Amino acid sequence: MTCQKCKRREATRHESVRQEDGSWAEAHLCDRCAEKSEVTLLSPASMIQAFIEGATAEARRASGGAAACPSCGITYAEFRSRGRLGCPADYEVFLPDLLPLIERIHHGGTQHVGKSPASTDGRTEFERELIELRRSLAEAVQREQYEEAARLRDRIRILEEGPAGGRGRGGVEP
Amino acid sequence: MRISDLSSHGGEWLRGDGPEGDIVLSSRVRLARNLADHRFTTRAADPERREVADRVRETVMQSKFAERVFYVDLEKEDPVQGEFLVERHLISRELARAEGPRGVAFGSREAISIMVNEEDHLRIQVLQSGCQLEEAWRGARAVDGLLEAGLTFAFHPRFGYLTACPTNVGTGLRASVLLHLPALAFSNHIQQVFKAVHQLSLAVRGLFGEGTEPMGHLFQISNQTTLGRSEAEIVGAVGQIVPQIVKYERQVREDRLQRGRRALEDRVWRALGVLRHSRLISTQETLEHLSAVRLGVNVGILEGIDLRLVNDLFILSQPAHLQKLEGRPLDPGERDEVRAAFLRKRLAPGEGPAENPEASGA
Repeated sequence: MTCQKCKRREATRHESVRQEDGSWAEAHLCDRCAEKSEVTLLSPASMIQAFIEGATAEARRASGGAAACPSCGITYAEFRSRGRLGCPADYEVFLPDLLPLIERIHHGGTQHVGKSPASTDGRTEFERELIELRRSLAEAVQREQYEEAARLRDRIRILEEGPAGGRGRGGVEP
Repeated sequence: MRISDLSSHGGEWLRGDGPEGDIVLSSRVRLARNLADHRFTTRAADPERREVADRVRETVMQSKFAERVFYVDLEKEDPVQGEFLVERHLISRELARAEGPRGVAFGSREAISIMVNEEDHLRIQVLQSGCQLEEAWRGARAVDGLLEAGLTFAFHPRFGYLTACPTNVGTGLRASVLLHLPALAFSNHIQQVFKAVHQLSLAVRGLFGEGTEPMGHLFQISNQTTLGRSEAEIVGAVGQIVPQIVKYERQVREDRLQRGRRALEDRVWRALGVLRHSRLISTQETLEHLSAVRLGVNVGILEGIDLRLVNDLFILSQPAHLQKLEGRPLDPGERDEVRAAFLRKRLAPGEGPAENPEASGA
């Protein structure tokens, strides 16, 4: 998605901003434009213009023979005009185009760090949760934060007492 | 329990007894997830969406993520029901106003909700009272783990959890805190806060999230990026700025009490006066005055008014809640009248904590 203001740089900021008519809408701006205007005012007219310009550019690119994803049929141009991909396979199909875009959106991030499905199943998550809760409980007691400790003890009890031996009767809802 | 039974009080996250509860109303973590073998919601036609919804619903109900789980099939509900769930922060406006097979599962305490067929197939959300982002993250991770036992989520070794919009790819996590900053807002110091928040690459939104107006001096602060940092880092980054903003708001409150007490008292009491005596009042005006009353309660200018009640009123005075309460559709003019009557009743002198029905959920 390109910045609604300069229509050149990639929009990296997505926030609620006030329009000229007083209503509020989600705006998509690049860092520089967002910085320049403390409380950004976008006119509906400029948004429409940006949309038309964007759509025209996309149409040009599409007619240049953009390939469609074999799985969901979306083209890169369609994605650019709607802002939503069609299926998980698009991340591979459009990799060369998506990579620089993703890099800009995530301020340089291109490699996932953190949780992955392989590392977890329902049970181990619960066990890990229990281990963490017990550790927090010990710390709370040490710091003499008894209210906190009581709260943690309740949660541990709920998890432990579950008939499935880990899944508490009360579920995980805090 | 029927959903209509919810309309008399707000969710438990409005208790107001969480850490820093006078300023931090709630902490929220949401995770975006998609089934690996289906097109994303916006690209899928109704039959495929229905298949996704059915499969997710089955797994969600079996996962027992909460003691009692409710599922609302939004395709079958009237629009007021959808707006009602938006006002309670259980679903997004987008989901409420979308069409086709879609729904939401939530626990009886309304701390956990799972939206089905929003922009992503699943949006897992955990809401906590006060400043408890890490707690919310732990809850979201546990629910995610439960669902992963029954569903295969789209995951890429490089890009992490795959989402319909690349802005959510990676962890799929958005961490946010809902802050009540009346003193900063009255004095225009709020611009400083926005500046600091932006410098940390965080975003500011209104009470109901994307594209919504900040009302009642309530501001939602959240992360912008989801790829390249772990969930704990993201949660930490959002959580890190909270104590500073809280401190700043407290300083300005203290300063007003020291140097402009009369003016502050006047503002608070006038606000209470309007809420207690109006015959017609809009949502916007209600939130503005509730904000001043909430400040008055928290700094000790107003006594005998329960914080929980004030928190509840932020939600209960919204249009869909009023219509539920009345049991019939109301046009905007009627709503203003019903709202005024409702506020007069709930805020009548002597109608303090005793009238608050929160005990039923405890």
